[in-house]
Amino acid sequence: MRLFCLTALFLFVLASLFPHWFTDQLPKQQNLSRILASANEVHILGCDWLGRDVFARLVYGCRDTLMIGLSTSFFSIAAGLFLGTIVMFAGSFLNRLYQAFLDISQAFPPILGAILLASLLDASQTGVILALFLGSFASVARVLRTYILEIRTKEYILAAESMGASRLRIYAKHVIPNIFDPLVTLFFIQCGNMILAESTLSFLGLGAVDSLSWGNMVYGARQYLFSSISLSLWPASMIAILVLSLNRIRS
Amino acid sequence: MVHNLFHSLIRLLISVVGVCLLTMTVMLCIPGNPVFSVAERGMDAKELLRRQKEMSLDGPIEKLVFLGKKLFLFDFGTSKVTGENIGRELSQRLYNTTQLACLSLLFFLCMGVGSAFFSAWYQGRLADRLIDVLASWILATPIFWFGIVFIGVFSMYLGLFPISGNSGFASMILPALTVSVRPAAFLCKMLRQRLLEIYRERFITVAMAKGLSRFRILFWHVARNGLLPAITITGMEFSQLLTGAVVAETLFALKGLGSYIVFGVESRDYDIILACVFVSGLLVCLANSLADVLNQMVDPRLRS
Repeated sequence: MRLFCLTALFLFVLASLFPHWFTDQLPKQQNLSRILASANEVHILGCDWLGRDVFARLVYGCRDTLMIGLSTSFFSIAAGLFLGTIVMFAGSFLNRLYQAFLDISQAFPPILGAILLASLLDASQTGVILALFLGSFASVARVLRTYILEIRTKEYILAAESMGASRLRIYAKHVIPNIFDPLVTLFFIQCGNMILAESTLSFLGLGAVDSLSWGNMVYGARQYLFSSISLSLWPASMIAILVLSLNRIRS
Repeated sequence: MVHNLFHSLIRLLISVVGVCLLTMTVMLCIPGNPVFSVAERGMDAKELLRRQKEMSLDGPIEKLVFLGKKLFLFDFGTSKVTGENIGRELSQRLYNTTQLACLSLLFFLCMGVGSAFFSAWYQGRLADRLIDVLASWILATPIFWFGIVFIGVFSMYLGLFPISGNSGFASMILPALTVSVRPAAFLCKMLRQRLLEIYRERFITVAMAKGLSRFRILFWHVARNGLLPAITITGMEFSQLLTGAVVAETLFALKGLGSYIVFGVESRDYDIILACVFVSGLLVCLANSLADVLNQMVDPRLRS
């Protein structure tokens, strides 16, 4: 299982860095004589409704998909850490306010928030990333806050405080290194969640129009669901493999 | 007990107010003006301004109060695209979504709890490991993948269920399965871990030393302690069920809350989107506090 996940992840990273190593076909090259062609030697997974090579689209879409997952996950964790410092530095009023905000945001399913925002923002890759980030960062911030509060009660923090260390020093020297491990796990899991959320957004027609992401492929293939089901199954299965590898990588 | 219930109620109220505030903030950001909702054909700008004064919608605070009143009365106005009353349409669709949600909740609990106990019974053996891998795989798969596969296998290949549309109970089964598979995998993983933790407790050692059967230990001693978190997880996963409903209703062409959101998005009708998001936010709040109260009623340790 671990070997499978590592290999898959390695291949995905390789495909997003050097897509031309994997295929000679171009993802946006249309060939109207090959519409919905089945698999053959040139197009190993066949062609879609515009005669574009499915395998090439899978390979080139890897970068966009990974990009959306990694960037939203990174931004949410950065924002969560930044707001987490409020817990350390601010007084009790601001603290309560932050807690109340996190509690309220729990009532909104992240994907609904993202749907709302994505319909307001423009349908570009940046718009989708922003919508996903704003919709989900509260749930990451909540987890980070519990980590930080837990660490704060530890005795070595008390010891550092009694030695007169400044709060900034405690935060940088003691808190961050001690939550680093769960932080990395959270990063990869959140990355997987965001890739799933992006695919759901795209599936509902709220994805980035210029993006090659796998979610977008499924959205386009939705109209051909009953005639050629493999068009939607391939990208959806790729998403599953990628997210599984991301979830499993730390364990 | 009463004190705890009171606390839950207060928390519910606070989160409902929060949902209202968040929705209203988004409403303020959307281009447009509430006064347009009373605008008629042939009204000029002066008339509109006078109406705006009449409705006392000059500043942002007044606008907020106006919007708040509308939300409180569930008055979402008429859709600019279809011309229907959004509130009435929503209540009809909510009925369908409630049916879907109840059926998925049933599937969710049966599959989640069933597989967790199955895994705990065969712990450490092949069946347990297979269920673990299967659950991880399900958690990593987009919801619509299941929908597509279910349509392919059950509707197109086997012809057991209708492919789409609202036509009685049979048309609800595949969407409900699609919605509940992912939350069930989550429940299975969490519950399995909890059950295995309880197996390491001392009272289980005592029960084993007494010579009780494995069946009695699992389904009496372990289950009584292990099933409590299931209530909390069900409350937590309710928002996942709603998310799933959006996808499943779109895929199976059901008329419900979820497909209404997608309709609003496709026609860029912000009133519909906001109304749906507001109502789902309220539903999630309600589900969470219901889980809270149920937990207190079932668990004697939380009562005092």
